[in-house]
Parts: sequence; structure tokens; C-alpha cells
Amino acid sequence: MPKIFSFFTYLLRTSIKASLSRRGAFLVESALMIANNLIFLAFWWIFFREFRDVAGWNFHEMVILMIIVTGGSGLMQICFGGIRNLSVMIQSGDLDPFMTQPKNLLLHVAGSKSLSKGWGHLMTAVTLLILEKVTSFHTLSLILIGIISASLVFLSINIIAHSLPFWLGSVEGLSKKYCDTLFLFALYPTHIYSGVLQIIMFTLIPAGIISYLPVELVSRFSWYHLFLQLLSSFAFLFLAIVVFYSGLKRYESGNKFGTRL
Amino acid sequence: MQKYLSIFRISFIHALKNYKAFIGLSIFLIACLLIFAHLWKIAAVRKGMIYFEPSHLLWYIAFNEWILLAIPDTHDDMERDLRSGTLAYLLPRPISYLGSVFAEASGTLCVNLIVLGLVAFLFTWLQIGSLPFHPVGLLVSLFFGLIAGIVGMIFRMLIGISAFWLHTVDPFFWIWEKLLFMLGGLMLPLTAYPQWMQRIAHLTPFPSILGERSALVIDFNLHHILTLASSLLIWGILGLALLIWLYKRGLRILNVEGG
Repeated sequence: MPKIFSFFTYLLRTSIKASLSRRGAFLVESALMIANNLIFLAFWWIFFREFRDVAGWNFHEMVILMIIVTGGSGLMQICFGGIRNLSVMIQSGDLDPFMTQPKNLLLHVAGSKSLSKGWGHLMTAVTLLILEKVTSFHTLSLILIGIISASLVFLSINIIAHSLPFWLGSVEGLSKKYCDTLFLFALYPTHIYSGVLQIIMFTLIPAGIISYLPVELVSRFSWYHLFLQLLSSFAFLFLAIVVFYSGLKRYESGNKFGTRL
Repeated sequence: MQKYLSIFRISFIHALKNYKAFIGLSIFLIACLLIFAHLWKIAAVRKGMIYFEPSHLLWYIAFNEWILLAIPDTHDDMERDLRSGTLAYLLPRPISYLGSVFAEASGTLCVNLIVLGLVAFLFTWLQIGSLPFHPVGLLVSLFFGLIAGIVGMIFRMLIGISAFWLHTVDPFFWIWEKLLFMLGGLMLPLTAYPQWMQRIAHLTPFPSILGERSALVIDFNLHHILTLASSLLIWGILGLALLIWLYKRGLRILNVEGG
């Protein structure tokens, strides 16, 4: 375990350095991501000016939700950005150079790239935290737990969605749409849904686990909610690992010559 | 022209054979339809901000989702071509790069429109049990769906071309998509926004690609058709002109710095 951790730390450091090396592109991408998030925040501001509250939530809860979702997504993209290429790698046989190395394959692929836009998401979360004047240690800790838990669910769904080509072939577009939609729906108050839709929102599109549970935890702390949140995040991660390695058995090598430094 | 038609045909057949992707997309379309319909019902109907009857609402959202999911991710393909240097190998071919991308994307768009259109139509029909439109109105709406898809595709190509300057085009795409959702009338009816925002929305291509076009199927009249047609035509031409201009500027970078 310490070996894996040490390997991932080195990998992450290299990936982050690589993403920072293109300074111009890094700044533009981060700035655009902040703008993108602010557009959504503006939408909710307009919305709550009209409706005041939605199922007990007001603009304050939406800001906390945005902090957790953008922070979680940002953390995932910075630490595990390579997972977004998994579907293309499976299709083009690019997993070969990774498989020849005596390292944890999934971790290696996921950590092989750090996405600059992740910093934009993370900066949005920090900016909103400052604007929301969150200073209590208790609240900050819960938000941090929420962000880490959200990033695990984002990672899990990305692994599952980008593993689909193992079974379905050329469905990279679908995988990407699925993950992007999860981010979009996580920015909604998911408890407004009922029945089948609510089940979908906690399973097929687990936006509720990413956003609803952590916000509820911050607003109305309970050990039960905390347990539920951590359990569901790790359950999704476990499921994702199982899906990836089951799919890997179906992987057809591209017989590609390549090096991975 | 023959060359482009051949690319279109190959892309059409290729997309048609990828039936597994369509199964996934169809499930996704239905899930999105239900989620947005629910959101609209609780958020908008209670305030009386939408002028559709509840039975028309699902048709409106279905027509929005249909186009939204049918437009292929051309920006990703272009980004890959530009970033990997593949463009340098494609340029010597006796065919325009932009033209070939357009033809290829059009083939995929057409198949997506047919398959997803059928899924959206059947699902909504089964849910509602009635058709809110006149057959002529439906035909006109289908035609405008195709045009809106092409305009949306041109803008996706514009996002893709930004890879000449950016490492990844995703942030531009996300902004485009968010604005399309917001100002296109997907997340909420435009009437829910303040007046100044509605005015801004009508100065953009978003309502004609999504909301205004989908509203046509329910509120079918000549004035609406003319407004929509002129808006889509203007935005299509503007987008195309900007695309060609940016492509030429991008090629200059390629000539100086290599592929």
C-alpha cells in the first residue's frame, strides 16, 4: 500500500507539472472553467430570486452545493484526469504500454494526466467558500469531506462510463455525455425528484450522493448521513473497480509499440 | 462535391451500424426527458411561467433533447486532429479539411436525428397519448430540427477549431452548452428570466436552436416560422464565415510552427 501511494504521488506530481508547463493554456482553461461555473451560479441566483426556495433549499444551500460539486469535480480532474481518456485508449489499444508496467493499471491510467480545467473548478469552490464566509471549522471539515466524497463518486462514474467500450465498442461520445450529465445534474437540488426518478438520481446518475447528501450534512448534521455518504462513495468506487477489471478481461490488444515514461 | 457525398455516406453507414451507442443514447435521452419534465413541472408550472399545457410540455422538452443529443461531438474529433498533428497529414489530400469534417459530422447528425427522433417521438407519444400538432406543423418542425442541428454542428466546429490556440477545447464547449441550456430555454422557460436577459437570449443563436424551434411544434404559425428561419439562416452564415476565418488563421500557425 505505501508503495502504491508513493507511486501515485510521483505520478501526480509529474502530471500536474506537465499541465502547468503550458502556462497560457492553463490560465485560459482555468479562467474559462470559472466563467462556466459562474454562469450556472447566475442561473441559480435568478431562479431563487423568482422562487425563494425549492423543497426547503434556498440560495445558500445552492452555493454550498456548488462548492462541493465544483470542488469534487476539480479534485477528480486534477488527480485522476487520465480516466477521461480511458474509453479512447480501450478503443485504440493504447492500454498496452500501461499494461506492460508492474504498476496498478487503473491508478496508472487515471493519474497519467492532470486536467488544467480542474484548477478552475477548484478555484471556483475556494472563491465561493470565501464569498459565503464559511469560517467554522466544523462546517469546513464537512465541506471537505463532501468534496472528497464527491470526487470519489465522480471518479467511479468516470471509470464505469469509460469502461463501457470493453462491452459496447465505439461509445466514447456516450461515455463523455454520461459523465458530463452527471456533473450537470449534480448541480440541481436532487431531492425535488420522487419515485423512480429519485432512485435514478441515487444509482444510475448518482447526483444525489454527490450533492444532496453532503449539503444535508452541512445543513443538518447527523452521523447517519455521514455514514451513508461515506459508504455510498466507497461502494461506488468498489463497483467501478470491479467493472473495470471485468471489462479488462475482454480487452483486445492493439499490438501497439509505445513507451510510457 | 462527389467526395463530400462519399464521406457523408460512409459516416452515415458507420453511425447506423453503431447500434449499441444508440441503445445507450436512447436510454440517456429518456432519462433526461423525465428529469427535465419533472424539473419544469415543479419549478415553472406552479408559477404559471410557461404558456404550454402540461401535455404539451413533454413534447417541447422531447424536441429540445432530440436536437441536443443528436448533434455529434465534432469538437472532440477536431481537437484530436489538431492536437495530435493528424491535420498535417490530412491537409495534402485533395479535399478541404473543414469540408470533410462537415460532411462526416452531417452523416452522423442525420442518423442521430432519425434514430433519436423516433425514440423521442414514440416515448412521448406513449406517455402523453396524443399529438399536439398538425401533421404539416410536424413536418416543418422536423425540417427546422435538421437546420438547427446543422447550425449547432457549425458552432461545435467553431469550438473545435479553438484547439489551434488552446490545449483542450472542453472549457469552451462547457460554456457553450451552459448558455445553450440557459438561454435556449431547456432548463427553464425564457419567460422565467428577467426582461433584460430575455432580450439578450434573443440576440443569441440559442433559442432558435432549442426553445423557439421546439415551441414551433406546438405554436405553429407563419410569423414564428419566418422568425425562426431568418434567425437560423443568419446564425448559420455567421458561424460558417467565422469558422472559415478562424481556420485560415489557424493554418498560419500550423505553417509557421508545424503540425
